[in-house]
Amino acid sequence: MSVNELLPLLPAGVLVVFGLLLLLYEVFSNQSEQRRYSAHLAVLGFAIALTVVAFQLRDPTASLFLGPGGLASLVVDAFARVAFILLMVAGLVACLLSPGYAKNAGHSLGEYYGLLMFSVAGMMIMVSAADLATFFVGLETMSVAVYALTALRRRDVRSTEAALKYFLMGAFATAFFLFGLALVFGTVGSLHLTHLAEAMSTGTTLLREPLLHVGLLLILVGFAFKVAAFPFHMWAPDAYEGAPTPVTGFMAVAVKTAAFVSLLRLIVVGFDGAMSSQTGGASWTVLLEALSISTILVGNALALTQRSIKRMLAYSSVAHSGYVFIGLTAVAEGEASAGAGILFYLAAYTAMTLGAFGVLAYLERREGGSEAERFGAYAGIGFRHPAASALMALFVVSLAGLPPTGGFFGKLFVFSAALRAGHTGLVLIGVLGSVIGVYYYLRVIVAFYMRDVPEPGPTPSATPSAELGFGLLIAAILVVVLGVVPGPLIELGRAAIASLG
Amino acid sequence: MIAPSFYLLLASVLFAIGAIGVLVRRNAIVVFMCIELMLNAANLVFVTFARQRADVSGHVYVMLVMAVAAAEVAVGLAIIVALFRERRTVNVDELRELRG
Repeated sequence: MSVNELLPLLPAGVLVVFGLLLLLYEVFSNQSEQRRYSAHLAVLGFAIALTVVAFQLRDPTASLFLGPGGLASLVVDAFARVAFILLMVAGLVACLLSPGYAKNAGHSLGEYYGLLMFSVAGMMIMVSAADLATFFVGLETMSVAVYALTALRRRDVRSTEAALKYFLMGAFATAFFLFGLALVFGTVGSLHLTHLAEAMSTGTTLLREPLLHVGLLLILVGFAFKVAAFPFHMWAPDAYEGAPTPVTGFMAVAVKTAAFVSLLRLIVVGFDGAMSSQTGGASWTVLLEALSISTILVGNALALTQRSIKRMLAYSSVAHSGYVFIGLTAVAEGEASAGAGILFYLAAYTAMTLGAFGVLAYLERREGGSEAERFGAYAGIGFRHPAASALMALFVVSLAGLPPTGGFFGKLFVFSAALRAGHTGLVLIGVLGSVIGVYYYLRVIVAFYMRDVPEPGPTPSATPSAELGFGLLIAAILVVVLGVVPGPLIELGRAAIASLG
Repeated sequence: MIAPSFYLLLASVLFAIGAIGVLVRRNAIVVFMCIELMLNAANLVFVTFARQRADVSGHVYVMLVMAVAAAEVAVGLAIIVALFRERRTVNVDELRELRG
């Protein structure tokens, strides 16, 4: 194997090198004045890696690390490259949101950006893995880095408590996932997606093997934990509330995107696309349906009752997982266009959710304790911070799925693909959930603009930061562009799904 | 030679003990140990099938899992230590700062 063959992995390599550089930079710069630039170094790393992917986007599919039978462990195809772009944009915006927040919260840490880059590199392994063992290594690289990111404010009990809950639940999920892998290995004889597909499509004797189904079920449970689907969502609100706000945004979008994209690959490649009833697939679609219905209903119902904006956004992100599961149900029945819809949805979700958490990071006044995050604490913010509030309004409108924003087209593509696959009931539940969503998202706008300002109005301690403004601007532009010209991205998504073969 | 099904049975029992332990124990460190028990149950399944199928890759997966679990332990214990320094407790029931 020559070095040239590794070029498709260059973006991940760039991230790892910059992550290591950041760790060294942290060690050798002991003045906090110098440390200020670690965010810029991280952004530079993401920008270089994104440029590399942009140049490689039209390259043919690359198979790396051939194992027994000439099967590759990593497959960098158009699908993986589109996912790379999504994940790295999420990482880049999260890096831009962080310095301003860190300044307000009174800490600045270089290893933060290093961990962020390592976790994105792990996600890139996840989305390109063609072998469940390789996938597992990527999953853990991502998870361990994100656990550490959550715990970053060591002196804050809320941050460490969130990290402990996230860590214990995440490790618990890992154990389920791993036991599932072991059972699949035992029944199929390999963890490669190609072998799994063979077993699923032709091996009727294998399909009657209960251990295989138990194994796949446990793997699905592992995924459901990572995307916070009901009933495995309990950790999400606590972890999201306690983590530093830019990290919350990153966790909510990047971890979820990586998990959903790799689940998409598992369903399309590993389950061989159509899970028809002859191959025992019917039970699987029913399961995905149940997951999506319960996740939408529970996520939206609990989001309604929250008094803190951050927790409301956490539960709403649970609901968004449910909408993506509608698309996955359609994909499982062979409706390939749903795959492109899911990629589009995840892109829009990335932009709007990161943006919303970014505005919160800007406005957050930690010193005021947890009360500062209540809806009431934001009364009159719309007039004191007009620019940030206008952006927040844009992001929540997009999250609610109203036109002309990316969130609207994301839902439109996913729901219409599900309709083509004949899931009218599922789409009705999705639309119902979105309607509930409009109510609690608009509460944010009401809190920002239409509440009486308490006398005397609390003085905003938020200091503007150029990086944060730039990050919010990128997110806002993405939300609007996806809502006005969705064509190019959906075309890219179709090409990506086609490359899965 | 003991039949493979006995090993699988043992692994399932270990996994169940671990899972129940995670749900009922309140000490964060004990919960964490229960999770490790579940991981090792998975390892036992890997080894059993590797031996049954005479396929060495199962043994390799066990090494992989051990390495990954070690990395996870490092971060997990660090989080527990950080929490103990702030709160003087590792009881998960006493962690009630985050409530909706």
